[in-house]
Amino acid sequence: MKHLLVTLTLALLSLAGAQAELKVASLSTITTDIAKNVGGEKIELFPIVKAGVDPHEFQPAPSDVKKIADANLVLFTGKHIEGYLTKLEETVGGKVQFVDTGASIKAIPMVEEDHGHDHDHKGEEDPHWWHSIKNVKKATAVVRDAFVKADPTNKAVYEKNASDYLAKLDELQAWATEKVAELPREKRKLVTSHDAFQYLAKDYGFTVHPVQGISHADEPSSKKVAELIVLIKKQGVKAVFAENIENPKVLAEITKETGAKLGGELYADGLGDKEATTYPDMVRYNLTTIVEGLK
Amino acid sequence: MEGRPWVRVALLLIGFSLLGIPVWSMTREKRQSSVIETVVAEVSVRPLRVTILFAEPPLSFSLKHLDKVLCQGAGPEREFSFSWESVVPPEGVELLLKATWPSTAAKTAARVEISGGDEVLIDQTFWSERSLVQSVTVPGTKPK
Repeated sequence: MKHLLVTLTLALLSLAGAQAELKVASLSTITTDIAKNVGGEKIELFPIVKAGVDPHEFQPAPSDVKKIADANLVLFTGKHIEGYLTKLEETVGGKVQFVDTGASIKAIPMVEEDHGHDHDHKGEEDPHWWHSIKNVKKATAVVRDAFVKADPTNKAVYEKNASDYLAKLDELQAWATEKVAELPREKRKLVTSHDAFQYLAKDYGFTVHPVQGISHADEPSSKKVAELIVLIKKQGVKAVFAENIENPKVLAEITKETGAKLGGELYADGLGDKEATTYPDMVRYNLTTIVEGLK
Repeated sequence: MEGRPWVRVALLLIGFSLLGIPVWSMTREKRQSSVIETVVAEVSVRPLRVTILFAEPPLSFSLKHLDKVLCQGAGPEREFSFSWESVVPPEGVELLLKATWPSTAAKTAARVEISGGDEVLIDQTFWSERSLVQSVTVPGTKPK
């Protein structure tokens, strides 16, 4: 009997030890992937925005708000992509700590485009910073520091995990540099559905020509589409690229008019559920699709 | 002849057609010359001198342009230099430098200097530990 009690006590202690002490909600598939890598088994993760969901249009459901209210930390990418954030913070009160993983990242200002509606984006920042691996390295450090501060007992684990993930990101950066070097600079003209690849363009010397503006809600004007058709023909652009979460109808029309091919679908607003289930997979898939399409 | 309207109409048409030829010719010549200017700017071949200097002798290194290896080697030398002629489009030419050092090496550096005639086009130093993969862009000449 005594032996059984000791075994039960040990089993209960072991269960208590295995239970994650830090509850983390994530408002982006990118921060979800960083949190998984840095937190490992030491955190309980609530991915609020799932793979394949458009973060520009996402609105949290009541069940999401409950999960967020139960968390210790909420990770978000910032730069105004989470339009519901202020209301969410007001709703869950001061109990939960919100971590802006993109705060320390230098923003690229949005280029004002004619996209067929009456508001403008002047003065706004491009929120798609994760298309630069350097920025994801910065965000990883932010997540590590937030986890250490919120749960100092597991400091060594978070630091070791973050260091391993940063090493993986270094390898990814070396691979990306080598992959893009296969494409002559004069061919680095990227025609995409919406304006989400300016950070990638800055790192690798591409010029981006988006059909839509910064959000999927920005409808392209017929003037804009006509200008793109002229540009594609004039510069001999071989391929245009759609995205995983939208209907490439306008792009199909452009390919018909120009003879450029549809180079494939890119993951612009976060991870997906096929080829891009992790951040390194997404980068490898996007860059391979772009380079092979434009060669 | 004055009494025949169809002859007068025919003469007028011939006259307008003859006037149109120099106008068409002038426009056509102008277009051709702008195309030629663009092509000249894009295909200019530039003689370049490339020097790579390593702080520590590398285990191996290579410098590539697309899939062509321009230079490769290993220590104990630290300095490698060669001449290369390349077409430099307005967007520039990107080279890929890869190098590895022994695992015992502390943080080390590689310096790439590229000059065209008397002009230094690139003089960049890259820091690394055991391996380096770095792109180097020779700037292009913007068409006038």
